[in-house]
Amino acid sequence: MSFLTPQWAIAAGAVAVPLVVLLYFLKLRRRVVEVSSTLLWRRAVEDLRANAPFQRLRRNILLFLQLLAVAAGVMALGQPQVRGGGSAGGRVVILLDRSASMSAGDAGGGRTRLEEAKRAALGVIEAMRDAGWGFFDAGPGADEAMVIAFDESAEIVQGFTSDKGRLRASVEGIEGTDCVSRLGPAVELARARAPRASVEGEGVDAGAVPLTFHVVSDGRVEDGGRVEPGAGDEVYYHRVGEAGTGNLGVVAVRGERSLAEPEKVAVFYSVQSTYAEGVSADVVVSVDGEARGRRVVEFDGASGGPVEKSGVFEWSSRLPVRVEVRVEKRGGEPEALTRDDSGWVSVGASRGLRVALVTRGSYFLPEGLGALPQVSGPVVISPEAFEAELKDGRAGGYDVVVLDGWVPSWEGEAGRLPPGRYLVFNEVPNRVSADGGAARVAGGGAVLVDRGTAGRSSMVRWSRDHRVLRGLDLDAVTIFETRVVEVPRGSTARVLAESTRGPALVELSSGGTRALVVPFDVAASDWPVDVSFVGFLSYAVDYLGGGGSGGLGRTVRTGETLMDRLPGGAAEVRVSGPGGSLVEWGVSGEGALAVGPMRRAGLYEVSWRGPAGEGDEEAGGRASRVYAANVVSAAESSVGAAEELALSTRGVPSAGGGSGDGVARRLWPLFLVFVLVVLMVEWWVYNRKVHL
Amino acid sequence: MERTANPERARTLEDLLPAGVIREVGRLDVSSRRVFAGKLKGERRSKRRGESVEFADHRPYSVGDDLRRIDWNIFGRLDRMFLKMFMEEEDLGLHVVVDASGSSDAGEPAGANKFLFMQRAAMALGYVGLVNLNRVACTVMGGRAPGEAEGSAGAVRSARDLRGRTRTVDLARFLCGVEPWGVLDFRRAAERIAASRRGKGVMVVLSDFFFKDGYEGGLRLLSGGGYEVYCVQVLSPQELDPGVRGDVRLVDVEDGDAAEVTVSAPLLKRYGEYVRSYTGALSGYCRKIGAGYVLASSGMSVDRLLVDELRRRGALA
Repeated sequence: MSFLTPQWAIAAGAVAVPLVVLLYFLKLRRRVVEVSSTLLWRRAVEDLRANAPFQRLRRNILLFLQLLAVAAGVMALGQPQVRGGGSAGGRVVILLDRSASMSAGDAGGGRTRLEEAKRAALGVIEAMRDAGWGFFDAGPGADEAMVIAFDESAEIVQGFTSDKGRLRASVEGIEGTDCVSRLGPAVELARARAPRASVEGEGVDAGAVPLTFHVVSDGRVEDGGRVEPGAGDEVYYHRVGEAGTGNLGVVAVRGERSLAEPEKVAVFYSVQSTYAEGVSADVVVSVDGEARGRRVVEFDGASGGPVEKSGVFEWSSRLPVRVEVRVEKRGGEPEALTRDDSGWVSVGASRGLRVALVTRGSYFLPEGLGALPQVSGPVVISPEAFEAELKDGRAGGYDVVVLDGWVPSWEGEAGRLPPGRYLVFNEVPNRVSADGGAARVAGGGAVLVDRGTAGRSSMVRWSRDHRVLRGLDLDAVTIFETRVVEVPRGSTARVLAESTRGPALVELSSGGTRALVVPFDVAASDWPVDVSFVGFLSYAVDYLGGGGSGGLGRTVRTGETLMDRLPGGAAEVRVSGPGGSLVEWGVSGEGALAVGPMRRAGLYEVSWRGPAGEGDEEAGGRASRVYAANVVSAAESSVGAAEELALSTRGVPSAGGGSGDGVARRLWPLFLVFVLVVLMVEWWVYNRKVHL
Repeated sequence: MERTANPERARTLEDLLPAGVIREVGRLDVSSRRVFAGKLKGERRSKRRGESVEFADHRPYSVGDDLRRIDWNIFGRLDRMFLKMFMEEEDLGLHVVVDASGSSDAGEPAGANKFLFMQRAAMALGYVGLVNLNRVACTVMGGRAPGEAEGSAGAVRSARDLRGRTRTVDLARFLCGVEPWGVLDFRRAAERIAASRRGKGVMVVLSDFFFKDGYEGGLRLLSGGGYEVYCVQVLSPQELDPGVRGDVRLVDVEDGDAAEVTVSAPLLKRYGEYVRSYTGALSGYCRKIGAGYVLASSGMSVDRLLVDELRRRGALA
């Protein structure tokens, strides 16, 4: 609706309405009441301030009519008019879960959850409103929908369109993966692509339009409690799968080669049962395709939650080995979900980690790194020497680079980390300014904002479940001079530890770069004299360098990107996956390899023409290296479908199948008619009162 | 809602912990949803099921690791040292935090005063911790000592490292030594508490959470550092169902902020919706940061809070 002469309406309203109201209501005497807080009353009071006159108006029908007459006069002065057409329909976002648990075949009729989810999504599409039903708008009034497939990450398979044929085709084309599910990235992606609303005629941005989300999933999302839809968004949850489905799965697997005895290979595993009744299973370990060991594992009923059993196999082999740990249920119904029944490990030949310490002089870091058995003597070099090594490609030979108070330049940008694994102390890499970093952040970068130094702080929170911090106690650490950093909105940086002044340990991961950043100077803290410091160094170097002792770094979780370095001169790189698929893959000049994200669990072989690295296999003039991708998620292996989708501020109960109930319908024309009817009734009441 | 006209102040241990409450709560013990193996080995009931429900990972031994974490079974088999990583096994402390800002001095009749309720709840919780040989600490945020002219917005006062039944009197004396007063800077107070606490355990925060600067920053600080936090939002019966009617001028006892309102049935309905929305938002935020949430009326009995609400949520067992 728009007005031809709004200035007349505003001027008349500004004079007439307050005048009438003032005459009637500014004579109130109020009783003073002391209350504990006006906080709860704040919004109510604001409403009341606006509504109080109307409360009085209700008692004075004559005044009410006067105001109504004034309002009508004001509107008439403004010459309102409604433009035909141009009003868009509702925006529907279908979020379809394609994670590993959606492969479970408990959707009835032998179908998988993913097939059932597609059926439900098609139901939502069918229920969408077509064009031309609008009351005032004769033009494009159809609902538009977007389809996003999500697992650990999210992918738009069809942008906003009202073409149901395209939407159906996009849903049919979604394939399952072996990743865990995270709803947050999908919601954020949809919000980022939502069209912007603007105030008509003013060109003022009024934010993204409200969206209607249809989440088609088994509700097993890792980050549900942290997902916050936008204000005004509606969320409907279409549950697929059975709540009581039990499952066996490999939830942890790890291979080690002893540093002292390199021929000894040990594989640790952990197997989980979510069956309500007791079950027994075989855990079979196969080495290079041949069964090497079998153990029987008995699980008690898991009525109080999942039950885990763990164990270890060990044997001797100097050669690189490919290991599969498989859990096989004994008797009873076959497993609904088999994707998580295996875990793979690739254990290469043993060698120590090559670590470079780039510093202008440090006491604690050379001492600490030198004490680590998995490090074969840290190379201590100056920043200038490291810059030179970066230029001629020699820096690619280090598994981990420890940067102390300095960050190199990369692609002409100072302070930006090149591809590789870094442990950074006393510096803030990938820095953006607080206001000018929006463009970098929008590009999906792992960036930080440096707020300079501040005074004393102490550790208050750290991720106890992260591999670098598990088992460490940072309670006693005091930082005397804190470097205050901030993770800007949209940055992919992950805060692992926080002090009373903000992030104190941050993980940056993007493309071929992974870094752990300790922004403060450890020499200006008491951390180096705490036992947790050596533990942190050891775990951080292990984490970044991938274990070193036999290829722990050659194991990734599905959904993650495989990152490694190939020997200099590697060319014609090929990656073959678990299904036998073969793709050519590019590699940067420094040998940095980034493949993924790995959507399928299993073994991946990367081969190339060129020199082989230490421990790599060679055949037919090509060198090769094997990597493993595993589901290994206790949450994903607990396949019982959730009755309710838990979001950060509320739980969304299941809306049933895919009938499309809940698709937003705009009813404002009907409400307008309703308002007119109410006005007429009020008029009738007034006349009746006058006559009486 | 309205300030208590003649507040009843607790003076002795008996005022805070009547015999009836001791009888009801005496059989409780502090618990945790996380695994805390306990202060004195074998005393705490383990939450482990089977041998490995909390098993996290194996990691080769490295310099600086605690020798007690070594998995000797694997050492026996492989002749090499590995750490079997479980969830944290630490001394379990109980930390009770009481909000003594001016807004807590509300509630009618005098026995339903919010601050009195919080004092009694803190005392009962402390008693449970002390008799079960937990490390008990109690912190009061804001407020002032009786007779003191004024306090400080971010001030905290604490009684720390109490253990054993004999320290019950010390805890009672500490709680009786504060009366509600003034505005509280919750974030600053939380910063001080977070910076000064040690170890791991259960933290119970008793407050009305009427902080005009927001409670999020403060709660985020309190929720870290190995403590499992439970927020008990204490509201008076009048805050939940106001008895005030007509044209009134509402004056905030903390900052003097005044609001002129005409209290009518629709407004009361809207107020009720805001109360539900405010408590719902706090509950949602608690869930987001992994904290527990309990809404309590200062008109209810303290033993009901402990036995029914906190035990149901796993803070007590």
